[in-house]
Amino acid sequence: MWDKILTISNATLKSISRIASGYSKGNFTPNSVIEATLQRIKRLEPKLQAFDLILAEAAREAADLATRAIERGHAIGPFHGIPFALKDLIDVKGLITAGGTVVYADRIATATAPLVSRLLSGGGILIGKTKTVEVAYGAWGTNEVRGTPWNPWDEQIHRTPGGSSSGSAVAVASGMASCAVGTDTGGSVRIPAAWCGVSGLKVTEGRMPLEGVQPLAHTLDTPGILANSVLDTSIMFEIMDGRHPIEITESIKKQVGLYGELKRGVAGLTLGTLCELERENIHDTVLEHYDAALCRLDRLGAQIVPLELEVSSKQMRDDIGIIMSYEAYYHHGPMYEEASNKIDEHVRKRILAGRDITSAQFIEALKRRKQNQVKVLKMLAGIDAYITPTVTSTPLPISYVDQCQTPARFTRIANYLAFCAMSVPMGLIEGKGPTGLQVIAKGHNESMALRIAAAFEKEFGHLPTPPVALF
Amino acid sequence: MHCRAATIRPDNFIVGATGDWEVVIGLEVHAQVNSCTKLFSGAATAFGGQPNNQVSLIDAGMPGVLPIINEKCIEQAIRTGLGLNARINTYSVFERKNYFYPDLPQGYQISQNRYPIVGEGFVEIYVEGEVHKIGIERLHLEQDAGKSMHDTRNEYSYVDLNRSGIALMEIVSKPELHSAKQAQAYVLKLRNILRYLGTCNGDMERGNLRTDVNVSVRRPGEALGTRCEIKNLNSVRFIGKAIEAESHRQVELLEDGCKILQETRLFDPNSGYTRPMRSKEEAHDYRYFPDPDLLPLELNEAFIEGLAANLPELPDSKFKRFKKEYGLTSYDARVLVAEKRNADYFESVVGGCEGKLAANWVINDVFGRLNREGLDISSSPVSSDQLCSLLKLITEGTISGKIAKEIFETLWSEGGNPADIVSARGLAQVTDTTQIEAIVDEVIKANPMQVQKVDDNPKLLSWFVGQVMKATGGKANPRSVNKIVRKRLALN
Repeated sequence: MWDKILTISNATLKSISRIASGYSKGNFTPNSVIEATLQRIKRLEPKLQAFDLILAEAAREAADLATRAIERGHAIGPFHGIPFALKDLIDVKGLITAGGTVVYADRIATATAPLVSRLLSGGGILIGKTKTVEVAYGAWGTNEVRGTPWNPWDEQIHRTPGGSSSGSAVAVASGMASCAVGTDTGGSVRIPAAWCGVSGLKVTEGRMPLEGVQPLAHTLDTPGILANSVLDTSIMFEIMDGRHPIEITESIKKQVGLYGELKRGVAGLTLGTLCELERENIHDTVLEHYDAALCRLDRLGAQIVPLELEVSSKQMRDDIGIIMSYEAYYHHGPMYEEASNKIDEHVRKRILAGRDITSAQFIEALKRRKQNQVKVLKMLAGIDAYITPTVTSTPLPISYVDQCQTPARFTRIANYLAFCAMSVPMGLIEGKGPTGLQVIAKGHNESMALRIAAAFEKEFGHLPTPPVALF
Repeated sequence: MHCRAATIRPDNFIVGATGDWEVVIGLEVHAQVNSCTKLFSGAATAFGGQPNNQVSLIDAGMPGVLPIINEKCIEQAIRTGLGLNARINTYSVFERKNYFYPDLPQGYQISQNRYPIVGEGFVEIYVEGEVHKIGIERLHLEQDAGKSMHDTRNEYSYVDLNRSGIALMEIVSKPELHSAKQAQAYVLKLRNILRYLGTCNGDMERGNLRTDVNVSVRRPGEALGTRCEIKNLNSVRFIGKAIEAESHRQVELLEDGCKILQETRLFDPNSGYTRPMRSKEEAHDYRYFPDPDLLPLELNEAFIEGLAANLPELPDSKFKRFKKEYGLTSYDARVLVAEKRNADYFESVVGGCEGKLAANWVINDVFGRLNREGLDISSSPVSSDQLCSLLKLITEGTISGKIAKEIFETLWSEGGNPADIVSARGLAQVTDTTQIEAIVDEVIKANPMQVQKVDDNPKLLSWFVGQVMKATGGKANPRSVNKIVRKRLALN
């Protein structure tokens, strides 16, 4: 039946909006997009190792239905027939949610997480479940038991993909999925997004249902989106936010709502940036890209204000460390206490650190968090967003990684403050990989984060297809 | 089935969101001519010499010296032209291409512009079951430049003129290639022809075969789009990657409503980018004019015919001959002729046996093993002579195929002469029929039950053959055994 696989252009296969436009113009069908995607997976997955589970047959069946529906004029909306991947931390009825471990590998989900239901009823086609750091606890993206995905920006050296949503970011960057769902407790969507050269949005805590999502630290856990452009991120965000696909189609067509926001630019906005103190210990090339990015935003008419937050990034990082390991120990302690379990020793160390935190220390940290949130919010009056590099370095060779450190220095700020945040590509260092720009906006103000990111993206452009994913 | 369009689209189209795109590719290959001395001077061309040790006054651009054309280079260019089925121009002109660069001491490159030495021709390439005829636009001769070295010391740049003045053939294809795979096949085929002819080593790592790629995209059937040139690709893999990156970049731009800028770009294998070269470097007016030091080159037909008559057999004719002479399949013949050294190896093996047998052994056992061990045919532990005598032993019926594999293993790891190994280890097949007959009789006598059944079930025949083979330690000739068992059991 499929004697010829279409060579769908890289840019199309990697983009929700382009695929949707191809469907509506009748230039190709979900059948050919899914087939091309599966073909790509077949070619790249042996090297990239992004998936724990590939749902080829189920995806083909879904594509068949979507093709017939679209051909008969029953298109659901902009997500209809879009191949997406799901971090293996999120439940789909009948499939295993292993959370990156081998110990949970017998946990078959009895219900589909509401988030996933929204994507599926929007017409999305689930292509597979992606690799994650064990129980999502780790930002380098490494997993010593189930394998670390290969960062597609270096053919020779195995570099950190970033984590914990490592497989999701690798799949999206290489076009093995047009977009993917991740989760973010301290940077787990934005860090892999930055290192794989894609867009990543962490939504405000409490905004989307977490039912059916394996917890790491329930206070801080949020879902997130990985996609290849800000527009795609916005479409997926609205679908996951529960907006009706027909309404989204209308908004895109009329360029209103969120899609109107994306076009507004940054002229007149006030953007807080790193103060001198926070600029320490960042790689030179990342700082170079960061300053160039600020220049671009300045040129676009934004007001750039170096800002010393009342609470340093180190304080926030340390408090988050307490909350995260305390809660993670509560959720996963038993698995990591059992010495005979085959688990990642680096994650075990992080989890077992939670055993020694007293409830008083934990409650103190929660209380301090509340107080600091109020303090920072007050000082941010009049500031539209806080802009930082997403990560302080480019992807590191796996062998250089110091597992006692975390690359989540700037990302944890957003989780700590209960804000939302977005990472967009801001540069590419030859032979090393991409860097990301983080836009942190106040809680429930995703449209601001997306708007600033869109303005930057329009000025900076997209990254090309990474070398590993080329012919 | 549900996507009807999929079956009628050529699979090398790029399918975009707004419609289909056809990729159009033309290649310029710079091949260093195999000659002992340079195009216009007597300095040596050998690779790897000490910097600036192979430089004559001409190569260094000294005043008061005149270039003298190297007849050998002219011959090589003509022979290449003939190998590319091309028209040889009896009148061609060397012109000066003027530009300023530190590694070009003359201040100009002697090249051919309006009157190249070779005109239109073609090569045939084979891609995914189809043969495509790719047109050659022209081939001309020119001088190579020297080499700038910027990374030896921080405060200086160095210039090595050893390469300055070496003859290059620039072979320009027509824009008739339509996918990365086709372009790769074209370069490999071209390299193969050059190696058969001995006109260029085709060693891409050493830079004696460099490729510039012109890429454009268009809607199928429409006029050619604006092209970009990607300079200096020195591996077949990068040619493929560069074409994919560049064609998809152009599709993306056009689909977004942007225009393609005609420009020269560089491919960076680390990032997957092609990026523009600074336009300063390419905004040239070369002010071509005929080199007053060199007369137009006029060739007589007899000279060309003499070269044509002495051309070696080229891959395409070898391919046809292998099929015809040795009864090989197209696949086998194609694999064997794809490298001259491989074809030569096969031909010195095939002497004493049937073609198909030799092809199987050469392709599966020798090439397969070399491939696995990362070796080259020139360093094969089993020489063509050894393999030839081994296959002779099979053909003569001295040893079976199974025993031959064992001997091959020994040859590979320990070396030696196959015939000696056979006699030393007593591996020769028992072809003495009386001896086999005796064993067959024993087997029949020992198994009366099976003998009764064999009438109803002729398949049991092979069981008897197996028993006999076992009794002889695999040394009996299976064909003779078969024959004798049939006779003794009175089967036909």
